[in-house]
Amino acid sequence: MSGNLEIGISREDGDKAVAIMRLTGPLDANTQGTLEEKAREAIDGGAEYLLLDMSAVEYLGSAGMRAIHAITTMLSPDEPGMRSSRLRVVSPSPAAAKIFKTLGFDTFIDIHNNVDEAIASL
Amino acid sequence: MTLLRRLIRATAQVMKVRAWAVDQDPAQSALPEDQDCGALARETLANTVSLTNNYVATTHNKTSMFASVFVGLLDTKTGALDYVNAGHEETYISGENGIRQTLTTTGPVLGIFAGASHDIASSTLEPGETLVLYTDGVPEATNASGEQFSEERLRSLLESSQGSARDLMKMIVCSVTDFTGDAPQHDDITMLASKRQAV
Repeated sequence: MSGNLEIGISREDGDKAVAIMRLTGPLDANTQGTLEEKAREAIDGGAEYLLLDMSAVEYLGSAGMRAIHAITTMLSPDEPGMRSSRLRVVSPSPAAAKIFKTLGFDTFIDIHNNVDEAIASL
Repeated sequence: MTLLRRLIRATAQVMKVRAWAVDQDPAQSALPEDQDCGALARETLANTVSLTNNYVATTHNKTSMFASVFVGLLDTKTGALDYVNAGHEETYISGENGIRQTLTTTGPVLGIFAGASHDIASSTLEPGETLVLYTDGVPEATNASGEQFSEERLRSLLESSQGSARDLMKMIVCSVTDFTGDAPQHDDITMLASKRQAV
């Protein structure tokens, strides 16, 4: 799968510092580094929580899932191998949702229908 | 990937040695006398998957290393199959009337979720039926237009499959190759088929 992953980032700094990352394009071996880099920048910039809006992710490969796991480790380094309480996935596309379910990530990462619902869950 | 494969084999080997010891001296068995070897098979699967998953998830967590795994114990005399499908693609049992059963996931991928639980499922490979496994590189094989081979195309091949396991593999490989042409692939294309001889 080829193509670029575009990432738009906004902040919702109410009671909690939240970065919302809207992903557009394929999330695969070619683009996983981009996502990890942007997530690191957001966390270093003060974000305590990350929301990944994956409604426009047209392809999600295993490398992309590694990036998502790497982000949970960035957010919660003291919770290795466990559910991260600081990451939410929002509205995954059908292709992405299928991968989440098949690989079992849906059991460990909270998935929400929209951004408002995800923020309310923090 | 290599680490996971070696751990699975090593753990399963320990259980194989234990089974041999029990065979030599039934008094050593922790299993009730009225239970058959299926109980030992399921215990082997449970320990193999659990130990492998927890070791990698706690020791190599920062690498975000994981793998989907289908691991099963097939009794070649009876066709009884106990298995764990850890986040792997759907596995099929197909026969002369097409796909009879789809073996879906029984738990998440191995290597990143410490303490994850995996159910052990059971099935039977009947005489003349074939167990078909594949990696996601098969349905996601892409042609020059960016179109994927798809699970639908793969399933349609199994609906009409006849002959040996080797014949089936050749047919799928030819179909995938014809579809992709010279387009570069981003993943491995791996399959396994095991057919139980018809009586």
